[in-house]
Amino acid sequence: MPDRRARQALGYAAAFVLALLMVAPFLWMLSTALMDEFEVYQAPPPLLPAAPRFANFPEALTALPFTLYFRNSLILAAATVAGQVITAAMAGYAFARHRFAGRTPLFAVYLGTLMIPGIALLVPRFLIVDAMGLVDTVAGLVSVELVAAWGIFLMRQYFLSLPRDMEDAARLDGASEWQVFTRVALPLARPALATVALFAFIDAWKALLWPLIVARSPNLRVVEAGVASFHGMYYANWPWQMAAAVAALVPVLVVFLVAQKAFLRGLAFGGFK
Amino acid sequence: MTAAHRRVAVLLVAVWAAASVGVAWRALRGLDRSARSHEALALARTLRGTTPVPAWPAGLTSGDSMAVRTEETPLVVRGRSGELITAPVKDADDWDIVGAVGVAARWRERAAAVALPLAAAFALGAMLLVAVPTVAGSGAAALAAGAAAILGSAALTTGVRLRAAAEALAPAGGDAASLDRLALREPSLALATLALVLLAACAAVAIGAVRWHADTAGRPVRVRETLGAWGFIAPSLVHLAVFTIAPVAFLLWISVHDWDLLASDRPFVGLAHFRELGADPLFWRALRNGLVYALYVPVTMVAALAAALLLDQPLRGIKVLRVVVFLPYVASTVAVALVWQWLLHRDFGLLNAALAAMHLPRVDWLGNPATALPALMLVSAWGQLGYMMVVYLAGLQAIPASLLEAARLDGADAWQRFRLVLWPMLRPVSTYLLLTGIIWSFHGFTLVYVMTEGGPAHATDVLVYRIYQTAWEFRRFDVAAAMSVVLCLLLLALTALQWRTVKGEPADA
Amino acid sequence: MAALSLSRLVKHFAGGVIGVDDVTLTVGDGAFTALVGPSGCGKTTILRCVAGLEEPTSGEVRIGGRDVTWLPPRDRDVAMVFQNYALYPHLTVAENIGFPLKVRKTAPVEAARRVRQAAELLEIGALLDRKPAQLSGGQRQRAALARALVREPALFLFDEPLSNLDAQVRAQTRAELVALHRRLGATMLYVTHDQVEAMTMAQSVAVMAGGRVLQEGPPMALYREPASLAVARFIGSPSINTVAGRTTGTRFEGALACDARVGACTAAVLAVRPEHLVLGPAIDASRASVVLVEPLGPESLVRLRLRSGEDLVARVPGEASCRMGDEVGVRVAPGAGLCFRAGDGARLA
Repeated sequence: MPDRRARQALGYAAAFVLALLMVAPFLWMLSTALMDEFEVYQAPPPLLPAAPRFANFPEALTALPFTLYFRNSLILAAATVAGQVITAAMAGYAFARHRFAGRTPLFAVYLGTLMIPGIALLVPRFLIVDAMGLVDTVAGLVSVELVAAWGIFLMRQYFLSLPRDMEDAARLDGASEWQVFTRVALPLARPALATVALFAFIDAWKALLWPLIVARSPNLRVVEAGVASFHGMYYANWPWQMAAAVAALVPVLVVFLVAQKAFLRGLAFGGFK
Repeated sequence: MTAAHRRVAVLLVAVWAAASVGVAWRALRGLDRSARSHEALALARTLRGTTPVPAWPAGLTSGDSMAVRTEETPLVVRGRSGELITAPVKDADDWDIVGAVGVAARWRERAAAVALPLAAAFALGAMLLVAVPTVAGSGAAALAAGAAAILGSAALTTGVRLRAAAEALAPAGGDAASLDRLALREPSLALATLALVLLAACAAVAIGAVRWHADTAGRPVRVRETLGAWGFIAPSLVHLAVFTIAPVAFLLWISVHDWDLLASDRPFVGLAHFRELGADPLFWRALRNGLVYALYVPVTMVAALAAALLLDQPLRGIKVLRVVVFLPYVASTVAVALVWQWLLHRDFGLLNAALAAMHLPRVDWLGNPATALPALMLVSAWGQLGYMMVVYLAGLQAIPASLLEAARLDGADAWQRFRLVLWPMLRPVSTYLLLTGIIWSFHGFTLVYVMTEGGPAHATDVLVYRIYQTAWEFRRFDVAAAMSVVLCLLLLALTALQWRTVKGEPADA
Repeated sequence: MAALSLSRLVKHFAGGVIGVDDVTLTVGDGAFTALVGPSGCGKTTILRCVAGLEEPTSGEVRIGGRDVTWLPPRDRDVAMVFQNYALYPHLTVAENIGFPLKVRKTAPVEAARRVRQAAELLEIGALLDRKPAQLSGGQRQRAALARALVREPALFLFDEPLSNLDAQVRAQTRAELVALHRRLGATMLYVTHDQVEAMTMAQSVAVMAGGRVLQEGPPMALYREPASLAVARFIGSPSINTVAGRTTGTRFEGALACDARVGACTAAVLAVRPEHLVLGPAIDASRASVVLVEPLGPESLVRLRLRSGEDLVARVPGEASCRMGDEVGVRVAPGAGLCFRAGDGARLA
């Protein structure tokens, strides 16, 4: 049927254009990162470097202490992932599985916090962290995102979808409530835990505003803030800037590609938070 | 649990309680002392602010660029009384080093700073060990102990070092009496310690409850279950209370009070800050910019729907596409902002080169007030297109094929099939995308921060950026709070609208 | 091993639903008792109260003489086999069986020995390294059984353990469970909605309905001497025939008639087992037409319709002598009619 074939051709064309649109800026980033500092100032601009200059990467990444920034970002991401996964699993499990005094009002409170945009709470959060003496400390940097109400709801839904019999069996087998949780419920909830962990990692890695205001000293700078300040310092050196940008992308892209399944599951659950 | 175990547990709890009480008592005494001593933190704030520092060596003007540069790599000098950590103080041009600030800890404080959290951590760890006597349990105990030690020593040494710094500064800075006015009002040490104790107590209660839940015989299940469940919920609840619920109340409070970092009183001013905002053309500009910026959402949705309609058929490689379209979302936003700034560069950007090749005039995308905001909208649209397309695609695939076939049999042409069948069926998806997209658009900060800094001529100044500048550049926390209240109400209204359209729980959306 | 006794157990659910209504029941040391009844009759709730997974509203649960009403499940020394087996999907069969030992901190060597022993007993020694997803229904059943018996509990609980198996495996497993019970000499409480399972396996059967135990006793006693019409109807397949009528003190008069020595003259229901209906010439008997004849080999089921409209089933040995459409006479075998009061279904004689 020619009609169907035309439609299919149109579909492939759309897919191709869309994919190109999505990937092109990243390819351009990579291409520029391999150009010579002055090569980029040509008209028309070359699409590919005449001779790939890999030295841009070590040069850009040592112009500022990026090793330190990567360490800080990793600490932030690790703490965020650990905090969100642990608290989401515990609270989600309690809400899904336990009947307890105060559950309904408490659940309403949690739902309420889901509504409050965190971005509007920057000022009081900062002043509270400041009052604790945690400005310019690692603890202050990681503090606010240790718990995500979103993750708690995801875990709750997931636990509700699991059969209870396995947990009852464990109780009869002699497990304490804590063992029921860690040995039976948690292993069964691995897919949901992966989703919470993945989104926590991506969000932590991309965070800029909070690190900017709470971690002012260069020793505590995260990669995002580092690349941003690098942009200000080497304004004219685009290859270096692009090299730094590529470096900032790599960890989060690797994690994303490894854990796509968890990503799509999270999207189906509520998408962008 | 054997009787011996129980005795050890009781003993450890007692040690833990005693240590906590000791920490709290010390913190309270420190509070008393710090009220009289000078606090380097407060000094640093003053120096970063706009207020002149009394009794500061002549020749120094204070301003945002001048600060106690504690972020410079500190120089550690070993002196008679132990270690002295010094950091240079630079002048207003951030060039000459005109002095130094010293941070020294007395040995008693240093010992306390190390020993107390360690003791606390040890007690907590031991308690955990008794509570959860398994391999996994000991791992958790070690982890908790380590975390407690790090948090504890960080909190304590910060306070200790800063207080010592103030003492070291007094003789160097001159008139100690005039520096008294800068005395610390927020007792950071005390608060940090109390927070630590509170958190640890919550952890202890949680663990104790879980353990008790498991152990206690003869209690009604409901009581056991309630205790256990609250134990499971305690960690997140404490965090939500401190970092979400308390800030909401605090935000409202700040927005109707004067919040000056230096003044010790914070008088109630009613809606003065809101009136100030109302009279501030820049605030209205930011609000309007935000609303215009949000327009990229419906525009992108149209493109996404078109793409989804084209892709809604069996195509090979669609799975790869489904991954690729999320690259802009997962990618670091700063990197994305940088590459787009480079693409949109006036003289050497790829986009303008393409325009030039087509004999069209070059556009100074980010430098021209008329095009800067549209340029940011373009970047945002690029970032969201793929996500919206995938959501639409899922929506299309959820529509039963029989509906479309029925419409076809009824003689509807392609446009009628779309308008009468697909579009109404996709309504919930569209509403969801529109509202979440707009909410999301008001969170945008990174693009503005990296690409335009709100400029040119405030053309890309959005509320979040304005809040950031007002609070952390102009040090007007109270006005920033008022602005946050406005933003919060706006987003709450949108969220409420979204929740009303999604029936049932929002999480099921 | 230990005896189980429930006294005056009551369980109300939220919303005023009564799950268990004043149940007193004893399972002797080493006995095999089945709780049987239609779904929603409260049998599973009783099981969960015994296990400690539910908390009774009032009443007492004793295991081996010890009051365990308020103890958490793990302190009760009971094991349970669930309807869907509740194997831990992330653990291998060996780890599943060993789980109760692991959480109780049994020494690894000892635990491994007991896991192997339990697996051998249930003939799943070759499957120890597999995950539950790689097992057939019957194999999962065995793994769940092994997990239950590996720690030698005082009491075994079974919650419809055979209902997810296909018919052939189910019949086989029934026999094996009985053999297992004999071999272990363990106390077992078995919940099922299938009266055949209950009758064939248990030493004692308790029939439940509406949260109450209607009657408890050895299977054949329930079959022969049901205390109420509900029990009579529930036990036996095909189910018992019933005919409404009146008692006259010495006889039951209705669409069927027979001797019934009950003192009272009252409205009543006569119940007759299919094998107690005698078909013959239509002289001095109720007349019925043959609706369907189902030959089963050693016996045949004859479905009849009485003139007055009631449907009956008769079980006759060998091949039936009548055919569809025949007119036959139906009589009740002497002394085999059971009379129940019409209102509440209580037994008259």
